[in-house]
Amino acid sequence: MMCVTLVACEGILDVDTSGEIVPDNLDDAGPAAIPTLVNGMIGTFNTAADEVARYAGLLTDELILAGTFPDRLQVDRRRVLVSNASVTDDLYTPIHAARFQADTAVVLFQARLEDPVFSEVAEALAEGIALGRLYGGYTRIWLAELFCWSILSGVFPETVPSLPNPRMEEALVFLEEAEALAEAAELPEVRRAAIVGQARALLWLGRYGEAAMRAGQVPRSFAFRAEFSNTNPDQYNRVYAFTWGDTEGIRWTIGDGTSPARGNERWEHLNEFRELNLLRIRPPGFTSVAGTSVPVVLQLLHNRAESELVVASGIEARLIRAEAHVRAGETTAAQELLNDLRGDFSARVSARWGVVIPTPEFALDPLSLTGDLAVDLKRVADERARELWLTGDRLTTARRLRLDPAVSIDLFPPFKAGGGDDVAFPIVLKELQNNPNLGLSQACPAGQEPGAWH
Amino acid sequence: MVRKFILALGRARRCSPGGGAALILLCAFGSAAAQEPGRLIGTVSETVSGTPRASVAVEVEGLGLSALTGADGSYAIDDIPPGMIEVRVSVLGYAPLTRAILIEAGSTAVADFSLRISPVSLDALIVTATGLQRRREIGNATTTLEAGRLMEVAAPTTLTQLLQGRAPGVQVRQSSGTVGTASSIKIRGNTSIGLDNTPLIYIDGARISNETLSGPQIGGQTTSRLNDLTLEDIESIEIVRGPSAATLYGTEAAAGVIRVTTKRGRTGASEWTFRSELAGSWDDTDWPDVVFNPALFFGPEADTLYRMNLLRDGTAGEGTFGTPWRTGIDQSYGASLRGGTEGTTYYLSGELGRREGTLPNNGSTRRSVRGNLNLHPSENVDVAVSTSFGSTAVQLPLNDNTTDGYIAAALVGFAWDMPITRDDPVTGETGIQTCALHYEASRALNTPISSIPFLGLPPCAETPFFSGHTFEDVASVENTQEVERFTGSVTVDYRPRSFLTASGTLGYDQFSDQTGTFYPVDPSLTFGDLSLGARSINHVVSRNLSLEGYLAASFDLSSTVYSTTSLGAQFFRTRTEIAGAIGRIFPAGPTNVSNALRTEGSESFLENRILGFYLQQQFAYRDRLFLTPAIRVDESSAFGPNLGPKVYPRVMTAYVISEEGWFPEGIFESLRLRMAWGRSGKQPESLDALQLLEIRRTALRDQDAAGVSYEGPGNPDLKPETGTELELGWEGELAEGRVGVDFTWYRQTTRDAIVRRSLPPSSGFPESVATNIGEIRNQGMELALYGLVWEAPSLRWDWQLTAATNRGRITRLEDPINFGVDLRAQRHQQGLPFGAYFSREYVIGEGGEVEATEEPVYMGHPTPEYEGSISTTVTLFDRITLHADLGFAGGHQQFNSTEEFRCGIFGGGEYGGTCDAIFARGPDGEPTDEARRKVAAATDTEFGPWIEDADFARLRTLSLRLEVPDGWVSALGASRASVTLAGENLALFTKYSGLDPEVNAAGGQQDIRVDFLTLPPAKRIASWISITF
Repeated sequence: MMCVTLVACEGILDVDTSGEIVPDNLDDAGPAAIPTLVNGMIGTFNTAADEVARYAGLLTDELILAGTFPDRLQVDRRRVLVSNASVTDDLYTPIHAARFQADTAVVLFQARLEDPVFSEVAEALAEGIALGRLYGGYTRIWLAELFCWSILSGVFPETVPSLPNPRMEEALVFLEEAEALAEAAELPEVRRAAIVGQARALLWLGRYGEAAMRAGQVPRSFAFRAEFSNTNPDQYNRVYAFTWGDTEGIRWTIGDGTSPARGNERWEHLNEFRELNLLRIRPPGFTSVAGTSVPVVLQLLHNRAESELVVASGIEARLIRAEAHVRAGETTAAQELLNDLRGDFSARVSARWGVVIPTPEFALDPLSLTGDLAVDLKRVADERARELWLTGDRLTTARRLRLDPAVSIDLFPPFKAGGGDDVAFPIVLKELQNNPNLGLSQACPAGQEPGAWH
Repeated sequence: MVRKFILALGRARRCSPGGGAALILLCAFGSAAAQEPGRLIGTVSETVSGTPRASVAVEVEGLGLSALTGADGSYAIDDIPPGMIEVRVSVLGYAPLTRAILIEAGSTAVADFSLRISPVSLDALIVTATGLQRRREIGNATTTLEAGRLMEVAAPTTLTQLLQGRAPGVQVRQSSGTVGTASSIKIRGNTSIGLDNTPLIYIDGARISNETLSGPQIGGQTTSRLNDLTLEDIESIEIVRGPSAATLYGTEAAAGVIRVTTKRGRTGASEWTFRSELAGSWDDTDWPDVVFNPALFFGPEADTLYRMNLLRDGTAGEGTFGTPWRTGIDQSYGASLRGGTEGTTYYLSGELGRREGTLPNNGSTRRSVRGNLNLHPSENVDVAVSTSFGSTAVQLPLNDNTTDGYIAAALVGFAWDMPITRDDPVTGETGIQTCALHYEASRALNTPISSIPFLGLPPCAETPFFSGHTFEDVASVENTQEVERFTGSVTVDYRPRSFLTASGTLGYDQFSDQTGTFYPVDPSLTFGDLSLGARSINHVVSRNLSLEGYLAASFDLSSTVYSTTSLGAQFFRTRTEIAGAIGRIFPAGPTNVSNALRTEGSESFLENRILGFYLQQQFAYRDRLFLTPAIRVDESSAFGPNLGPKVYPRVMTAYVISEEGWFPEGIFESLRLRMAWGRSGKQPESLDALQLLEIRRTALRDQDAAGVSYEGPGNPDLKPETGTELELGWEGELAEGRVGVDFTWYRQTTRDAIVRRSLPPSSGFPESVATNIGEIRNQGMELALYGLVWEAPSLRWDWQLTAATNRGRITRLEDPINFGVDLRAQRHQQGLPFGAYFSREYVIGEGGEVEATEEPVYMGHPTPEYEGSISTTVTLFDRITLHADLGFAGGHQQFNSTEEFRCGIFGGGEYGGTCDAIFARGPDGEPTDEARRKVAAATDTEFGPWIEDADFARLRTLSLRLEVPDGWVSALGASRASVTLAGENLALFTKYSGLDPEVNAAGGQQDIRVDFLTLPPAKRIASWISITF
């Protein structure tokens, strides 16, 4: 009887959930919801790109820790624990969220392509699908470049982790599909970003000729950017936020080697960058959350909340071509490409970052390659370090060259006391504990442990 | 409440052929009451001592007439129909008395009563979901606290403090010494894994918010809405423990229920009571040194340890920076008025109080008024109205998990910056003002001190505080909360027939809570960009509506069996609206958020509704054997859409075996056996069942665009947790009532325990999903022992022991849940207690080297396995009362993260921890084994050596109370006056090496337990005077 009464009174239990967004809201919106989903996918990807730049920078000393928190200190000391909360929440999770959002959106959009109700938004659907594939490709590139191995669940579930090379092959497939979709949808920027991504994947896979060929299709002026905004801290460029202390305390800085408590780390290119006016050394009024004992050196690339982050560019394409030329023994061609970039570097960054063009004595002069593979590759890497600074490239380049048996160039910073030799991130504990296809010992392939993630 | 009280007795002592002789007389005289009415007056006092007892209920049974005694123990009842009446006198803590008295027409009868102390009286009346019931009828353990008496000898400042150690099984942990912050409260351990374990709170029948996690973001401490109650207004508190007792409260009651009854008016002349309190509190913590060991930077030859202690003496080297402490002064002033006529009684009160913490920007101000009214419009209708309005303003300091706090600034300070004066080790120049780092660098590098900055070392900092935050800097940050709250209820009791009772209560509780944090505009401050001004505000409005009612019918089934059937319904709705705004970078001057350069806002609301019905059937055999089955059915808006109504059954029985003719005499004055089995539930959070998306603000083509992304998958099958409990116990009085014993054993199991199961991040969902996958079991014993050691006209000495054990284990949980510090210091894991501590363990191997386990291992747990209190009261010459209360707890651990962090800061042994322990040396000059373990653990950023046993005993109260002599009182025109001096938290006995074994940097949170830069409770001396006219 009481149950019957309860059923009769059911309306009395209706509550107002209009403050929340539930799937029904999207269904009710119909075609109008498509741009919203596309925007959500873009925003999720931009956040992940930003985090990649921060953590890749921290592991390679583009940034050093200026905060007190031990978990980020682990990254700075290259001895990352699988339980590391910062890596889990700020790097691993955003990359997978961006991948999941992209893969899911593609499935949703494809299902609506044939639905006449959605014909009015056919263009948005096509753009969404192309972007989804592009983001799916780039997130897979990150998984390959940053992690010792990786595993997916959600739209494309896997039962075993995938090593970096197979993951990169998979990324290549996604990006080729993205290129085709973008071409069909007349989205030239997306298409070029897909091509640069393919070149980047091929470079990792050691298919240098193909990489150069793809990269050659992209004009020098091209740039595909993750955009940010100063409207709301949610939209801030987080490299900026955490190094300039806008909404957060300053937790990262550029190492200038003057902090005894921090082990005197010094960014390899500190002097060069300072002479090019890309850094501001210890400006007054900027202190880290750890106090004055960790001097703050401001980077000027991400110098505003809305500073864009370049995800793919014609500059990167040229650097890829330069490396391919070096590896093919085509020293002159490589040298020409690099000197072409060096020639207007200051003018470009001045226009984009607003920095003062350096005095002639510190301007970039043309360089000469030697014909020695290792020396010249290091030189290309130095050019990448400057051109692609704080975009997440440093870890990729450093790892790729170190793992390359032909040269074994070590661009990672020297060991720090109490540190390790991690050159990649592990699958995090939260994944190991909650993914039924993984065990706790599968953070990285067998033989690797904290301090030796490869 | 008085009327309900009479109603309940009316059910128990009905006019029926099966009743006793006195009742037959009552019925006979009651029908012939057509003559001039009479009057009954008298006094009520304690036996032996003769001390008058105030607030004792004196009632004429069956006639709806009653009175409460005044401060001098006197009472008067008018308009009594002539004839033989039965008068019942009862108050908590004493054996009730019933006496037949003849009232003659137009005359005044006198009846004095002398009450015997009886803490486990079987006829004491207990507030239950179905009204008042005698203890003898109830199958569960019951604890009723008489707040007024407790407040005479102790000076608690909050409801949770009042409950601490008073009732077995009620676990109150004081989270910090910060005035105005929350303590955690649990009954019978952790009954849920993923939901809050705070019991439900009712005040005069209205269910109120039991929120313990409100307030501004100050590093960890939270504020509690339980602190809004004015303790002086509380008459009594009922503790409903466990699912079997709380079945009729339904979903959400599995963690227990606390029912607060406030004071009511009494028939007779108006009675004024004034109370004034003055108290002082001070910090008496043994603050540890901050150490700088230059050997860590300059090699083993730099072996001079530098120490500073900014919190103890405010000095570092030769620098004097002052301490932040002050003596906190508390003042409160209260007045109450009670009185009334036969048809109307009233209780009015008001209180104004101001408390100061021991830190400069900590304090609270409270103002409250209460108006309670009882109406008796007709013989079969009673109306009780309760209203209260109060405002609370608290100011809170930064501490705990924030680098901007007082304790962090000092305990994590940089001793290498301490100012010292030394002779230059290279040039020999004398009297150079430098700092420890430069001096040691000069020695180690053989470089003049003046040249050290040119080696790349930073200059000596102006102060050695962490981040340069001086105490003055920290004091400049304002964190405030202002709460205004109304709580009211109306209860109507209606007795249409002698066998039928109806009761309904409408309760409403609403509070508005405005919190604000403000970093002032002062670029010279050391808070980075926040020093350009930052303000955050949050406005919460919470509305809680409760409607409940029941219908009870009582019948004789035979000459020995009596039946009471109760049918009830309960509806509860809570709605919380939250709006917040943040502003950063202010021009000097106006500091409204709207004047900030950067602003952002947020808004959300939550709503939850529960509807439940219950049916209870009680059978009573000869008024000594009771069997009571019951069932409750609930539906809630928080249940998953795939779930139907939830059913909770219960059965309880009680047997007053000592009333059997065959029961042997001589040992027990009374003995009651009881058993209860039942279920109740705990519902999920409001939105847990829903699949949710979130707004993703996106910058696109230089414009802001709105997007959505996936947040949580939801769980359409989500159901409430179900707690099932079996409880067995007995209570009795021995030694002619001088000893009372109340013993309970219980075992409870929570099935379908809601666990926030993390999803693998590769799933793409950042949020966890609430799932019914856990099971948690608690088992324990509770003992309350009361003893009257001595009773004579000039001396009475009594004591009380409350003790409880609790052994809780998570009995089913597929995968462990990691949380706590670094999301790994604690785990919920199958087979282990709630919130178990985990860490790699460090031991000294056979070769003397430090060895560590490969994987983290179980290191202990934060929930005490036993706790209780011992209290004693000595009363001399009816005038002087000495009281002491010692609380204790043990069988648990506490994570001393304060020292763990200090030992591990900047790499611990490698980079220079600042705790003393890692530099400890033995007699041979070598590091002690403990120091080596701590260095190893600090380098590995592990916690093991700092998870410590946390057994403790605390002298919570020591008081002296003096009743002012009658002559002095009369000279003032008063009827009673007293002066009390009480010390709180005067001594702590523990082997725990941290700041305090009870504190928690996570405030009122119940799963995370960590001592991290948390302010320990202060010592306090309070004095107050109370006078009644």
